[in-house]
Amino acid sequence: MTRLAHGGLIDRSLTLSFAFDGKTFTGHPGDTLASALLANGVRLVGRSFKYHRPRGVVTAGSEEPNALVELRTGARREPNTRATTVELYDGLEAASQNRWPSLDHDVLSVNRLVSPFLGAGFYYKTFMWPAAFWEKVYEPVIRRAAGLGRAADAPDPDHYEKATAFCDVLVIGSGAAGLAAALAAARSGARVILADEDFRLGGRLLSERAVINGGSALDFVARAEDELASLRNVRLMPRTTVFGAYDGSEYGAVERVSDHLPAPLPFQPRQRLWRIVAKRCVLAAGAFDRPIVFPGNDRPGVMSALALATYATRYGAGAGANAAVFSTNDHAVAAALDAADAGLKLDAVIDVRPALPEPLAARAKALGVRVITEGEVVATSGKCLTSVTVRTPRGSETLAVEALGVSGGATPNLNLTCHLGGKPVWREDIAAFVPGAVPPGMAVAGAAAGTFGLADILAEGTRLGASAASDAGFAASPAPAPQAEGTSTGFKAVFHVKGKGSKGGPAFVDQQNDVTAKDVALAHREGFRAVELLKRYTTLGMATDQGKTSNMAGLAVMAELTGKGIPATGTTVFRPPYTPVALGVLAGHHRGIDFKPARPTPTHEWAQTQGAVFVETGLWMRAAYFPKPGEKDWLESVNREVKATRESVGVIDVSTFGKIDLQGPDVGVLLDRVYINMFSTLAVGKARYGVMLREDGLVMDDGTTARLADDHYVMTTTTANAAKVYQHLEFCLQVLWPELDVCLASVSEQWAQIAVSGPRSREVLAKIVDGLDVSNAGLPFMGVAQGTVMGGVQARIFRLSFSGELGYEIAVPARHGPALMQALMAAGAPFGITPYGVEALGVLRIEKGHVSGSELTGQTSARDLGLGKMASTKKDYIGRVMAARPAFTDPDRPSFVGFKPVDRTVRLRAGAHFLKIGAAASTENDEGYMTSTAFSPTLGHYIGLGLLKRGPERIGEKVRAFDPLRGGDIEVEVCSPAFIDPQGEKQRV
Amino acid sequence: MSDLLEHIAPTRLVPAGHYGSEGAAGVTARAVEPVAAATLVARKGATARLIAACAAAGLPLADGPRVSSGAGLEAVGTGPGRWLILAEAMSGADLVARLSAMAPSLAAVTDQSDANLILDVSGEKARAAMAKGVMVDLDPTAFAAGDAATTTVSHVGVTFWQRDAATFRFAVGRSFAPAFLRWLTVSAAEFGFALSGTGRG
Repeated sequence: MTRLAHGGLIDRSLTLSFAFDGKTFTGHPGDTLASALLANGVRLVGRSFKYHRPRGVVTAGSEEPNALVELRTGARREPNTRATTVELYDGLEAASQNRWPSLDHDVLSVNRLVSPFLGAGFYYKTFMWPAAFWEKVYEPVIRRAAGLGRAADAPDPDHYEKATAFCDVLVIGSGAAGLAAALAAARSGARVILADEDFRLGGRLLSERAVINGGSALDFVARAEDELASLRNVRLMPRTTVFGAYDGSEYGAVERVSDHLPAPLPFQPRQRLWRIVAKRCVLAAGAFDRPIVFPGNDRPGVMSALALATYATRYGAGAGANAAVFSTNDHAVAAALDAADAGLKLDAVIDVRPALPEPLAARAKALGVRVITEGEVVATSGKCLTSVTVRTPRGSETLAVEALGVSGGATPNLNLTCHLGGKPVWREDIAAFVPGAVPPGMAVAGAAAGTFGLADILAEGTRLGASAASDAGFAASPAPAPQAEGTSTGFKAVFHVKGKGSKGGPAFVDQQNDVTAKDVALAHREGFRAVELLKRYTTLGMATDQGKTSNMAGLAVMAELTGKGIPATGTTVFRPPYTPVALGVLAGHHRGIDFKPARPTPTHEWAQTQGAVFVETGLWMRAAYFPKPGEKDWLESVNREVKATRESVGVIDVSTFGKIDLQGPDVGVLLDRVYINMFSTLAVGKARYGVMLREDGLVMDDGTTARLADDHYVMTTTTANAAKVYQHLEFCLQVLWPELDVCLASVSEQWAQIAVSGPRSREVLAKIVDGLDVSNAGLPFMGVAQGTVMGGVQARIFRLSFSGELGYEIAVPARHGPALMQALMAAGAPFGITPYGVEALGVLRIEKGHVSGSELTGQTSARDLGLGKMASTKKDYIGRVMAARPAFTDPDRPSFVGFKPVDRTVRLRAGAHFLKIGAAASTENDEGYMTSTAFSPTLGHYIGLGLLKRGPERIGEKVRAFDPLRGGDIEVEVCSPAFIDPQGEKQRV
Repeated sequence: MSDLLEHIAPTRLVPAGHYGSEGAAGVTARAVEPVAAATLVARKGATARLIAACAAAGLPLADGPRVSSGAGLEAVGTGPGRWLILAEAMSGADLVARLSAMAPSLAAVTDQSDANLILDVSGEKARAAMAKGVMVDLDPTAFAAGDAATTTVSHVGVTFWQRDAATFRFAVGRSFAPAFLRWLTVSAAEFGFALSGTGRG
């Protein structure tokens, strides 16, 4: 055990039990998994990605590259979870990753022995031949050997949700700068959101022995939190990572609502995705403790100096039985001395500088900590750290320590400032990149901006918080900033310490992706010197931590090699997300059946009672067919439905069509311009089939439009294009012809519409209308009647036919849809009225040769579809000019015809391509393809529709229908697309 | 999927009942039926005259995303020169006739009485639940009684407005109502959700 005797923000009165790799340990509330492991003396927590080297905890935050574990078990297993961010709970189970058979004895650690050969680009260079092997053999094997944790293999049992929040000032980070900013902004009355990825507000103040306003840093944090929590205009969001900055002053954040619990509480999500719309933002994300690249720097026990201090002060955990610190700066030395104060056995401070500032030197002396000046660590040893070798101008010595805290200075955490394209800029005085251009509305405070002294940080936070609030329209009174004692910020820039030859082991730059200083040198030798090339060649900074701690070191090593200096070497920019985001939280509620809305038709429940099998058509759930007992497959049911409709009467819900109400004196003009055919001449009480084109001359949609009154039309669109056509009409009216006096309203949801088709349909209809004349004279083909049905229900009756039979579409207000269906079923019972689904609907229209979605592909012109003759030559309309382009009038263009198999017993398949008989199956010989096929119960064999080169001229000719995907290669006969009733007599009787 | 919805068909309205946390419901929703509804769309260049004519007839129309009431009607601005008009205890045809008479030849009136589920949402936690799908600032300083919005919630197009300090009214397309209620049910469950008017399970 390395739990310190006292102290830390942990509740020692409560003990939590947890397991790591099956072994049980204890910790306390307030611990993270990492701190609890360290307190239990567990220093080896994982194996590295490529070389399977033993690795330990390196940081105390979300930037952690090494301590990745599988958290939880079963369906809740989460791979690659940073132990440094996992709050300990009772019963927590975690396992190490990327090792076999155990963490201690990992077979694949032999990779280390061959590591001289596994440098950057090794895979690309070695596994090049034969090329075909890469995808099938090399890559799968390499991926199996590498990789990190395993995803759960069962569906995630938890719920996720999304939410939107609005505020005047978003403060990201709750350290000294963030708290000061939030207080200043909140006191003005502005709506403030304070978000922090940690489960406790305070940031570095939770780990440091600073004095603020005459009291301890912890007192300051507690008071600030109390004040903020008491204000109604403030929302505190701990456990919330702001992961991205986006256009429009919007920020993406993930709130880990339940990650600190074994399982979410009832009705609580595991995580919540927040879209935060903030007028202003203060980024106070702090800084990362910068690692130093030196031989053996990846040994478990070597960690960030500030992390070493945090474990001691905040968590009461020693990272080892004794420790030393290797530093370049005052902040790290002060933190290490804080740790010694907290009870960590700190044997030595090894600093690269000739001397420490007097106050720190005196404090070290008082604590009995030895200071080694001008010292560098050049080697380490032990599977977990046992000793470090220190080199000074005075000679070398070996110190026996279990933990080494390393700090090369501070790297401002400016990640979010880059998300809209801002490039960091170099500040030589602090040897660090600071934010360059920031997203609109953002200001950066504190260490994230390169401001390091505590008093300066508090002043900057206060100033920027107040100005954010006043920019958002609030009167922020210039309240004094919290006062702090000056802290010294002296440092010397050291990024890389070289050992002697290969002694001391490899020096790692990126621990998660196993990139060493040698790999950077290799990239330099091979010409991959530009920073973006260096990154891709070595994979530096491309792991799940995105190089938060390693990028600077990599740049520094490259700059050293090129001699160009760091600013000239460049920096990589950051993109969202700041830390990994689970896909589940991005999906939120929308998974499984809730992925998209499921839209029922008005008669959905009635269809269920009839045993319908449903199919998704876009968002709609429609009846596909209505199986009857004894029917052996869907085809038998569909054949029955088609036959009943052709021979007697069938009924189908067609409410899914888009329906648009058009009123005003200029509707006729508008319709003439959007349809290829005339509508202004349509008589009141009549409907007409219309085709509309896109501006590029291709067919956009088709449907019937009826004229209800002089200045009142109702348009139907296809189900698929309902919204698109409405949008198109709005565009025409708002942008193209704003002078037209036309009012639009979607009535798709208002009307239920049911089609009755078949020779007996008039008799059925006659029974439900309230005295309307539905005779052939009273309501002729393409006629429209308005009146009432079923004893007073308002109705519109359109005499239309998609099936080719005598048919009507009856529209009633949607609530009456089920009643209308039942009335029709009752009225049609003597004729054996048969409900049919979209499968039979398809067969009926293919038999009749009507085009539908399979033909209206967005690649077909009206002429291609045999509808060219409809186009008016007396008017202009959208798409007219472009439809006349030579390619569209080329007589060789595949055009719409029907097909029958020469051998009538053979099945046709949509998608088969047409070839001349005897022609080789090649792209040059392709003559078009089959768009729709169906078994025709009327004809007793398969039929098809398709687009064939010069199709209408070739009726009677035989062509080859070639379908290599499904092994089809048959001869088909070209015929008219109207397989039944080509003269259209049946629908006019 | 949330366990709450596991046994509810996605094509039907979530049945009336209490969902989620037990005890007093933090969010209450009630399907209001029947309500007559119609769209009122000003003819070209006639918006000002339409507003004046309706005002004279007792129905003040707000030229923006606001709700107003008068002459027993409730008018919600849904777009420039567009309103959704609601009336209780009246047939759709009567509402269309009344509106047409109020402003003859100044507007197109279209019956929408069957087009929407009308849902009143209230409760102490209504805003917190709505924030899980409504991407509009619902803080009382930004959205108050009389304000309206036409927006997308959980992939569903809706119009909603605040009737009084306590109640938001939603108009949701009939075929989208089951999906909308599924979203609202899971979103309100943590606060306790009382749903009525949607039929028995």
